[in-house]
Amino acid sequence: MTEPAVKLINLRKQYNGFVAVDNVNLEINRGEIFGLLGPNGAGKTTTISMILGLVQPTRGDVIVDGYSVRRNPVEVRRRIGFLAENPGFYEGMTAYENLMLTARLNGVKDARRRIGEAVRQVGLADWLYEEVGKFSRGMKQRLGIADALIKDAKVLVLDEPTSGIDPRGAEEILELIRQLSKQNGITVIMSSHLLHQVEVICDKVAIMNRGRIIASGTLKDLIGDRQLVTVEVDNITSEAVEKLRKLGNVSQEQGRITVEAHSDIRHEVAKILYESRVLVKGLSVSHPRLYEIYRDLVS
Amino acid sequence: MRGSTVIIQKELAENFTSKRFITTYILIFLSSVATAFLGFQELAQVGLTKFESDVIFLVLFSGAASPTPSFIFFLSVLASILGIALGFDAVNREIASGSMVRLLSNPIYRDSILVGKIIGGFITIALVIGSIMGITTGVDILLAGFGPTLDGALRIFYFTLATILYAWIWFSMALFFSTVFNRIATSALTSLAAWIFLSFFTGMLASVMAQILIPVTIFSPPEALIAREELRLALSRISPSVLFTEVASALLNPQIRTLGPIYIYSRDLPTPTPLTIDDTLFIIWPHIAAFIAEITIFLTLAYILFMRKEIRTRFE
Repeated sequence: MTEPAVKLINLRKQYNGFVAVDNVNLEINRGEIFGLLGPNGAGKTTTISMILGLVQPTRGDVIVDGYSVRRNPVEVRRRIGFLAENPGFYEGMTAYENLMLTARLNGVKDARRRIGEAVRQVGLADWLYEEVGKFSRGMKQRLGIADALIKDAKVLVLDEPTSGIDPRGAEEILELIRQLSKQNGITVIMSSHLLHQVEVICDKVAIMNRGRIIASGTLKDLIGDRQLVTVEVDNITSEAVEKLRKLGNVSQEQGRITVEAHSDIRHEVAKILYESRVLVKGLSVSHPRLYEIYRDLVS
Repeated sequence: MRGSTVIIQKELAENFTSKRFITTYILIFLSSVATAFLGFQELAQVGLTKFESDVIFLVLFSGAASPTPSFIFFLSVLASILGIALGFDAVNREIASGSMVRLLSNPIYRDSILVGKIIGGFITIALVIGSIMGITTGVDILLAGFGPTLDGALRIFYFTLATILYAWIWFSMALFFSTVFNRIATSALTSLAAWIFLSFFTGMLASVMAQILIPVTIFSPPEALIAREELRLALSRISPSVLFTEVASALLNPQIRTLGPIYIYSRDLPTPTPLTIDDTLFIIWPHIAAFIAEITIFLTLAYILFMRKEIRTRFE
């Protein structure tokens, strides 16, 4: 079995008595796109800062491509590309100058050629000699991805990469990330509040709350055997709702009732509604979405 | 080391192309040329023969013949502004814009960023002041029709070095404030407040404190008067501006034989033989040591704070 690309071991960060990250253990495999989710203050940014070696863990360690962030922070950073919500480019410099700075900081040989290839991959070849200050948010994010390509990063860490970008631009960036992960075998760790995007792009996710990982795995792992039976009804009696509650969690919303259970309960639901003389206009079964899992876990 | 070299080059490129730098440079250039020109006109009116031939060229710099503010005064103000302008947001601007995180996510040590910024700032200041002094000397030569003697040229050279050191102090102080405060406006205002206090109020405060510590009247014995004056001078020398004015005066006026309490009374008196540059360097050496000490203190504090500073990818 191959060594994971990134390994978080008993990671903890404490600030004057406040525990921001508490005993986090994660293994992220090579070529995987991993989503780190959680509400504000959950500890995502602190975890990312520790992965990058910007914040020293109070306890535990991060291993990136076999290198410890405690013992070898420089080697870790050689292997990681980072793209924040604000990519931090020098706005008065051209895209070429910004990328050349990264190339030189990383001792990249044949930097000109690599810059040319990277900007072609992200679709910014025509903007190479323009000042970054003129770029849209989406273009800056794409330039940030080119930045990671230049240093030949094995791991790409993205902190809210599509925040503030229009839906089409966000979709393009996500597609680019997916392509790079598949073509170059780059491991991607992505923190985001946009769960529908995470659901589409990520192979695995971890949900953090109050500094701890409260769930992790593939979407399938998180869903497990949970099923949602949704019925459309005209009127429903409180007696029927009470009976449905015995089958699982019930939520009501404008003529629509959803019952969540761990098995296919369509037959039982239909039976209760028939016995309660409720007119059923439609009935369907589905699996919960990431948003619903997230909401249940975080609340 | 590669990290520092790249950061130095980045800093130089940023400094030399920034509007702030270009504006400050033009300001210093125009002020220097204007004071050189005014100094020459005043000198021509007073008459060249009033001064010793060895020092005549230096008078253009020291403004000894001019009732208008001297070149030293303009330079002390503008060199400090240059230092502050280059340093007040050197660290916190990078943190606020996110570029610090971008730099730190590359395989370089954290201290190489600060070292790069310090050396980049030092080189920029040295180049600006060096070039301004070169241009001003050239303008003076053109106006006067003759150049400085070897001793005079050496004095101008050492004066240039002292001015560079002086600007480095303000740069180091501003860089320190830029590391302490996360807000750019706070570090800018603190740097300016410190500059105003040290340049214009230290003298007053030193007099008041000296009078409190060693109260004297006109009837006090000379020993008490000298002791009070020595204390006042020592206290006022906390200010880099006071130190610079004394250094500049000694370098550009070979007739100044001491920078102690009697300096104020003796500076306008003619002396039989002007000091050699070696003698002047001996007099100003403690001041230069104080310059270096102030720079070292500010940079050490900035280094410690920067290395301990938590720089996160985002502040939630």
